[in-house]
Amino acid sequence: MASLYPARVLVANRGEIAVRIIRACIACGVEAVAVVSEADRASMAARLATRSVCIGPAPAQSSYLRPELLIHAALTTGCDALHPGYGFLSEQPVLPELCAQNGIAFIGPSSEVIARLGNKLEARRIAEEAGVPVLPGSTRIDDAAMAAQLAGEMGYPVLVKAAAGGGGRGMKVIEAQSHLASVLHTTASEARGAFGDPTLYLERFIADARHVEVQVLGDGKGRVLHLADRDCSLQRRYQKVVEEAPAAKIPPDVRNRMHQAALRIVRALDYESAGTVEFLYDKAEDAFYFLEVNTRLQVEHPVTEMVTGIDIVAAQLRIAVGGGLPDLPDRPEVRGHAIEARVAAESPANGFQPSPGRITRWDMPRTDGLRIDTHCEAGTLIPPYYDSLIAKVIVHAPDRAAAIDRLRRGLEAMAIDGIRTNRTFLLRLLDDPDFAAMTHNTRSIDRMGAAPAPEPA
Amino acid sequence: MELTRGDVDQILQLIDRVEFDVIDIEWKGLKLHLSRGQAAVRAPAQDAVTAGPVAKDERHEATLPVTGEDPAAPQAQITDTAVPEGCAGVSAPTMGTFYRAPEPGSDPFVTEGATVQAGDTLGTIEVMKVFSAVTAGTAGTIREIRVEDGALVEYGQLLFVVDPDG
Repeated sequence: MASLYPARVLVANRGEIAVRIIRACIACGVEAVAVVSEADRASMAARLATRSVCIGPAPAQSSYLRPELLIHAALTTGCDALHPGYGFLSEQPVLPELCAQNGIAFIGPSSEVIARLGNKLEARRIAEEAGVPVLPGSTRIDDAAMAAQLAGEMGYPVLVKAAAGGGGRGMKVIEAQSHLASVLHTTASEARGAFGDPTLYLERFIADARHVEVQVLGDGKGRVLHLADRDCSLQRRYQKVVEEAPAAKIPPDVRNRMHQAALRIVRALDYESAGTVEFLYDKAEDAFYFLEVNTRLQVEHPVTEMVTGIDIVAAQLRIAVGGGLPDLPDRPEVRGHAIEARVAAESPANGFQPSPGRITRWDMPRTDGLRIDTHCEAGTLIPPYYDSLIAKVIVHAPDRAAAIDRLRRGLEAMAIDGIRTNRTFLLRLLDDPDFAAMTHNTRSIDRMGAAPAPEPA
Repeated sequence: MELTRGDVDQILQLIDRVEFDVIDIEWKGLKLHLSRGQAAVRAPAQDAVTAGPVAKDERHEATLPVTGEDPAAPQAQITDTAVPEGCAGVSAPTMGTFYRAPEPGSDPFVTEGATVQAGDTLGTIEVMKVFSAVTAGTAGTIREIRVEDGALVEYGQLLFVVDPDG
């Protein structure tokens, strides 16, 4: 009989998510090998792991983004599985492909599924075939004249998106036809530079919308289930800042339809491992539309873990070696409300510029219902090369109001010196009356004037 | 200002030669606080080099990783992997599997005591069937080979010690 878990996992990431994955490995009795760049030699992940291997210099292009180094490290340290975390190579088909060629279990979906869902036009097609509503939009844009005609039919403003983009990258709002040609031009060249593919398409823009997503798990053998939903509407420049579970104020029938829609998409793909189906929820119309599928562990997965009591990373470890999804009910029991705030080493006063440096003081509150996912402590050096996320503060409470209150007190009790953080900015968001009343939307942060508006076009 | 490991080595060698226990240097925005003996316990090694002032009362000493009871430990830790004085080190240019010979069974590229010229191949490192050469940076004598054939080496790991005068 095959073992329930891998024996040794290569953790192909850094920062808080590397620590999170290693902790899950420890909890499951699995050995973890941390690969680190030169800048992360002394990291918490390196210390917690069974062993660590320095794979290259600090810049990610020379270390965390080099699949051959990751695979070689996995093979020579005897790993039978590889966890990609999020970001870096987590959604690049090359990594699962190399894993398969070398007999390593990739903790995530197949390279084919990643490739298909990575192309957002193809993902739209998959959703449509599964009978899931998509936003009115176009196929690929061939020229400005075609775009102008389609945009005219949809009505301005419209969104222009890069087919190879996603996660809020490669996307711009076009307010009027006079801007169309120039925005298409810049978005296409930016997409070519960032993703190597200038293909664009148009989608209707909904001004008063919420970002609602459904967490799914599949065993790759036909069984898929969902772990309910999250709301991630508080975003700055399309990047999530505060996330919560469940998504409040959605009628039960709409919520249920959203869960079923997510399941139809991943069932059609015989999805393996954890994934997230993202939707835009049109508040005025009480309708939802498919956005994209993230084929990896999400940053905000802890809020789902808090309300369902299910360890998503442990489930991933198990699924990767064919351990399946036993013990997990088809319908999750959602208890209470959880909220996460992303604490980042950045300075809101200076346009959210990154603020790397040595943390000289790191005092975290320890109270019931509070979870902090972090790789930092006093003495940690935040290098300038990577994402600025330093901690996820997650709270669990009986209801949403109590959760907001608990998160506020948690953030107030945090003391971090040596670097600048967005802590007071997060506290300001929690005090916003729209957020408290659940009347906010994906553009609320920009409207609050707390941040520069997303590049208007 | 970025300090390299070599810079820190040089600084530590300097303080080793002087008789003071505490040295404070402020120069062009760089504030350097070096100490040994009892003082070193108060200011752990990783705080010893600080770009910009750090208020002492803000340090949470108990939570800082302490590098050992022995106040000399921070220095010892750094010089442990360092190259002996007067010698040059050759480090791994990439992570991978190190081989001393061009192919299994053949003679190694170099042995201890061998004389090498700058640019000579000392070994190879394989990453997924792609080999890159490890070359000598300076001419001299191979004083130490610090890696086993077939071992996984980390990026930057010290592999050879070359004595340029030897």
